[in-house]
Amino acid sequence: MAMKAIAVPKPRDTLQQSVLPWLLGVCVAILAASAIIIGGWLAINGLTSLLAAVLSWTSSGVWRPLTATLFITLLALPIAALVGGLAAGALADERIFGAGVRAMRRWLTLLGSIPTIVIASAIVVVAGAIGWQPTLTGASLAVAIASMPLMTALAASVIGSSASPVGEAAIALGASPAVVVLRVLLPRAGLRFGGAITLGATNMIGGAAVVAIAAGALAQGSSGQDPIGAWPLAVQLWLHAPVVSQYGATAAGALVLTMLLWLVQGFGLLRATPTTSTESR
Amino acid sequence: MINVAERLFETGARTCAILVVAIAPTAIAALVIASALALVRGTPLVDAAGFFQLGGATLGLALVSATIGLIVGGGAGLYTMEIATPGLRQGIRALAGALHAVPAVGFGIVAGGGLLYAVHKPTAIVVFGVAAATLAINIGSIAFVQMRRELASVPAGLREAAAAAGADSATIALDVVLPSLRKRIAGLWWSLLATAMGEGVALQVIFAAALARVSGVVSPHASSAYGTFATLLLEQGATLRGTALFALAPVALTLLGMTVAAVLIGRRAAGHVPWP
Amino acid sequence: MTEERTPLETKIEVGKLNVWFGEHRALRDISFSAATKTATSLIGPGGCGKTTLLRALNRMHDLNPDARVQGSVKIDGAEMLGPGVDTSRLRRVVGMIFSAPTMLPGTVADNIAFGLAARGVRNKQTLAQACERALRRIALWEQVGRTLQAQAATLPLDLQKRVSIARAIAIEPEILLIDDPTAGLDPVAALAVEDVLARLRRDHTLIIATNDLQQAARLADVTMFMSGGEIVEKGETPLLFNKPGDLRTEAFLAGAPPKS
Repeated sequence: MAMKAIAVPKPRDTLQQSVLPWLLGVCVAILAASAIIIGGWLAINGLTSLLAAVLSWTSSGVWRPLTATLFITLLALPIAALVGGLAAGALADERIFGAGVRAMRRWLTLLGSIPTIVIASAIVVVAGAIGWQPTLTGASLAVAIASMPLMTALAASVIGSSASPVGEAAIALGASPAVVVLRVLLPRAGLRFGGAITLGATNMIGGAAVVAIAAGALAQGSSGQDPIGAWPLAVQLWLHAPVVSQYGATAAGALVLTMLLWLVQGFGLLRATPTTSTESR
Repeated sequence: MINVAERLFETGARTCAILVVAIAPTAIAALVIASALALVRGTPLVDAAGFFQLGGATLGLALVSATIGLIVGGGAGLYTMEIATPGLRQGIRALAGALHAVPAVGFGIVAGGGLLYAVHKPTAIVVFGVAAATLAINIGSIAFVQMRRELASVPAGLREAAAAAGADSATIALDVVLPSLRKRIAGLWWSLLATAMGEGVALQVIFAAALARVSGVVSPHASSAYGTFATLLLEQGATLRGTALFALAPVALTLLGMTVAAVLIGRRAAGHVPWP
Repeated sequence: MTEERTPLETKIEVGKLNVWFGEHRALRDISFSAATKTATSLIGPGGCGKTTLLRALNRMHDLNPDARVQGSVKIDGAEMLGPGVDTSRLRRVVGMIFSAPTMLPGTVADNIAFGLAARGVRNKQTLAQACERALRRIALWEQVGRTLQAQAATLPLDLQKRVSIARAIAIEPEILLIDDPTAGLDPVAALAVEDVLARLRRDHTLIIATNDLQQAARLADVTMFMSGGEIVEKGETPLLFNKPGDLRTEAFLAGAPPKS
């Protein structure tokens, strides 16, 4: 008889137990609906203009802005990734910095929370003070600098530290910091390191604020900067967004940018979960 | 030979770490100096009333969007990880991944497009309502990912112990896992607040669209009508050149102060500073 | 306190060693010496400081910013705790075998040869020979030689233990610090590992922290009983086990819980 009682599903005891799971389900529905609405809206408004945008080689098409996006990413990403990766390596092994490393780590996690827009403002303030003319290359450098704290935090989260069991095992064999970081911690991180870099790349591809500010997008007008003659796609979209007559083209561009970001993220390399980035994209 | 390469690596790594750590103090120093110079020259971006209006909008929008975003995104994350069936979980994660892929400017274009087409002459309440909703969904997609991360850090033994005592997945999620994460969720809210305050692109597109709808003026410079600190920095940063840029500094410093305060309070609330 | 045999050749001499973790004093005025090519075992209840003492001898506490080490550790008469000491070189002379055999990324061969590769040896043949030599010295070539190309992390625990021992001796250290060598092993595997350690006694100075009293009795020339961060009693193993001088030692050996 006792077994029969187990076989019958028990009704939920309290209101909380029956209502709360449904409420959580509503949250899922809201998020899912948003994804569908946003994607659908961009598709509906953008698809008709997509063909024109893709076929056009002028700055109102997608190719020039995409080239500019590629230009910035290819320039800024290696710099930010190298500096960030090395910095993370320095913070992984206590022996490189000695006693100060814990304080530096805490400082770094705080750094990652500074809005990129603030760092971009600081960069252009300095640039303005020394009379530096805004260029796309300069904007790439600004993007690299602004991305360094995030890249360092991401790299550090996948590399780990020499205080882990595997790090200690290597140290006890007389391994120097370079050997521990490069031959033990980094191989162990493996593909997740690629995921960290991919996340940095998505921030650069989708990021409009830093480039717009650093290169004075509004001051320059819509034809963009040499050597490409167009702004990166994200900036282009931002500039043209208020213009009603071009809404179709803008939506098409947003669709292309979203697809690009989805592609880069979805390549399966993205294993490192993102920290809270201050410019969401 | 090996020692030279190792020394090179250590020196290079040390230099890069110092470089990265120095970015913030350098930026702050530059902003402080520029603020002083801007105040001396007497060329502020906005007057005092405008400054407080923008500050209020920054804080207000951030508070609303962080709260709604945490509830929606965090709730969705909890459901996905603890209650949903594996098939449903994959589907939700795919949609959330798609949402996460949409750039900030894309959010702005969709919401701004809604304003451009749907509402004839939107009032300020409508504009800020749309802005808050958009930012909330944006923050929600971040909260979803962060919540999944927190849930993954809960030791499996906790769930197993509850299941062995007869609890079902909903009970485990709500009565065991969620309470164990109370502090971390509080910390998460503060960090989402900081993120929301720093978001400029999406909001700026919405405000520019609203301005176009209301006054027929097509211009990215919407902060005279609607704005936050971040959107003001974006507009003016993209427009001003040379030493006129110094006027950005006080606004940037204020935003920095607000964001850092939120992050520090959040760290306190979460109970510890994990690395990372 | 039992009588001590005068060491013929002192390999390690520890004088008034103290270790603090923050405010907590984990080791109190530890002083002892170990002769060359002898085996010393550390026994004592959990938390008495055995592992802390081992880790102090190869300066692993340097990695912990909360740790403070005071006192003297001399190896062959040279002070090792001073600021000018090259700790990487120290750790090649003083090897360590951890209680949990953490495998480094790569194959079994990569693991065993790691210490040499870290020192800059690149020649594949040299590394392979060192690998074989290490395994043959501890009579593990027959067992482990077949699995050299397997990913080390996929091996069962007892094989991982043996690989970690081979890894430690491949760099030919003079001293070996061994922390709980047979933890988690079934009795058959434990005896096999002990066999290996017995062979190592011939060529190395061993310091073994263990919770297995029979193991200490079988392997060690000298045994030290620790409690509360101090050495309560030390002496030749048979004498200590059969006629302990201190009541605390007697109680521990009899299986009673320690009195605080």
